[in-house]
Amino acid sequence: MSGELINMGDLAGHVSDGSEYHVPQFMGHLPELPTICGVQITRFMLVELVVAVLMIAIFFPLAAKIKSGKPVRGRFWNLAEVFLLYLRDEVMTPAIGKKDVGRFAPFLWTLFFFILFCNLAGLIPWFGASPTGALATTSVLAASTFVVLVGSGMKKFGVVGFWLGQVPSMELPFALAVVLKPMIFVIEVVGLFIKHVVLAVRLLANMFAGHLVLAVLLGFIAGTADYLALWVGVTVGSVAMSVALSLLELFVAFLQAYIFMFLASIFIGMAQHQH
Amino acid sequence: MKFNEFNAAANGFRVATAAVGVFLAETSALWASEHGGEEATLNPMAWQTDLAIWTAVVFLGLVAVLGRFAFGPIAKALDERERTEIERRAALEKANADARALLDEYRGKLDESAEEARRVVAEARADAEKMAREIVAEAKEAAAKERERALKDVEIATDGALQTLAAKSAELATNLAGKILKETIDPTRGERLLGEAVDELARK
Repeated sequence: MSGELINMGDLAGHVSDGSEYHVPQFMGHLPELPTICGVQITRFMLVELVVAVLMIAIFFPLAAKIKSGKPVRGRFWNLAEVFLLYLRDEVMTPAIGKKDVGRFAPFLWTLFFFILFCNLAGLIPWFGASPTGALATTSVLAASTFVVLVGSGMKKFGVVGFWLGQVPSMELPFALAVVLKPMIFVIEVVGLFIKHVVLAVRLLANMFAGHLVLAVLLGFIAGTADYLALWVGVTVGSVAMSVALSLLELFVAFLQAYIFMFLASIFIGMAQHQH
Repeated sequence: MKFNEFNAAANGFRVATAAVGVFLAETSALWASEHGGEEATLNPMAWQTDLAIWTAVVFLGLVAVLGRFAFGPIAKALDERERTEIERRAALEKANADARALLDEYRGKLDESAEEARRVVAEARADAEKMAREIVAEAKEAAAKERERALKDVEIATDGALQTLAAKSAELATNLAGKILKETIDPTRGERLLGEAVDELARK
């Protein structure tokens, strides 16, 4: 580490995806993750798999409890149900409408909890950074939302009806309409794509930035290792700031999952209720 | 500080620090490449096809599995519970309204009963007072008659006694006169006889 303030190669290894798990040096090195059918398994892949198993482990029993018709018992199960109800009644229903919310709730719940658990996974020491800090992950999530939006819209209004519905109804003279409506159509369709690209980039940027900030702060400790007096002060300051930022990251993990799901609900709602 | 301000400040700090991090990454990468080291790969926009496919499989699999076995049934169960609760609440509200109506009805009846009871008590009290007054009047009248009859009896008895006294007096006087006529009477003897006659009269 010495010779430069921070070795960003090492830093990148901690923040971005990789095929190795990093543990403190005194614990040695963990073996590299395996390659299966020519595909190198990475930390993010493993985290996503664990998240999927965790979600199944939580929501299968919860479904069984709720299906029984009796009120669920226990703080954890009540908390899980509160999450589901809050998201459905306060976020999805106002955006999509009570009539259609039932069709989209399972997808949006899955979206929210998958993002939330992936975000929170990045806060667990040595578990690996958040998969939501990778463009590939957030792009797939945004693309899934786009597919659901377009698919449900075309199912409701028909293929032509859905795409033509992207243009707001305007009382224009024919000459103007011929010129303006195609332009507006292009703008709206491009806007539709951009909205989902932004959806992916927003989540990516927030999660990546959070982990990068933490890594940089902690990297300062190693960067000043050659200067004892400076190192002590920097270590104390870095650890304190890292703790504070980790608390902020905890909040951001929930906030970004909420924002992603909230915007996805609004987009789907807009597709279900055209101009 | 309001939530929005806090969020904006926190995001600003995060973005600024991230920018420093990216700057350090770039300079470090440059330093590393110039010195023959391994180039850092700290590019947030780097695309990983394997991860994208993996994420699609995991996420869409989750959507399918959870939608079929967890979130789908949960959504239906919550709707069913909501419907049941609405019906139960409507039934409870109706039962509550019925109970209130019944309560009002019973309260009305209770008020009527209380009024009737008050009226009956007042009537009974009035009757009792009237009866008491009549009894007292009858008693007084009876007492007056009894007193009058007693006085009459006393008067009759007095008259009888006086008649008897008169008869006895006359008899005594007759007897005394007979004795006086049969014997010579000296003054001393006369006084003695008179005294005996008075004593005898007193004894009778």
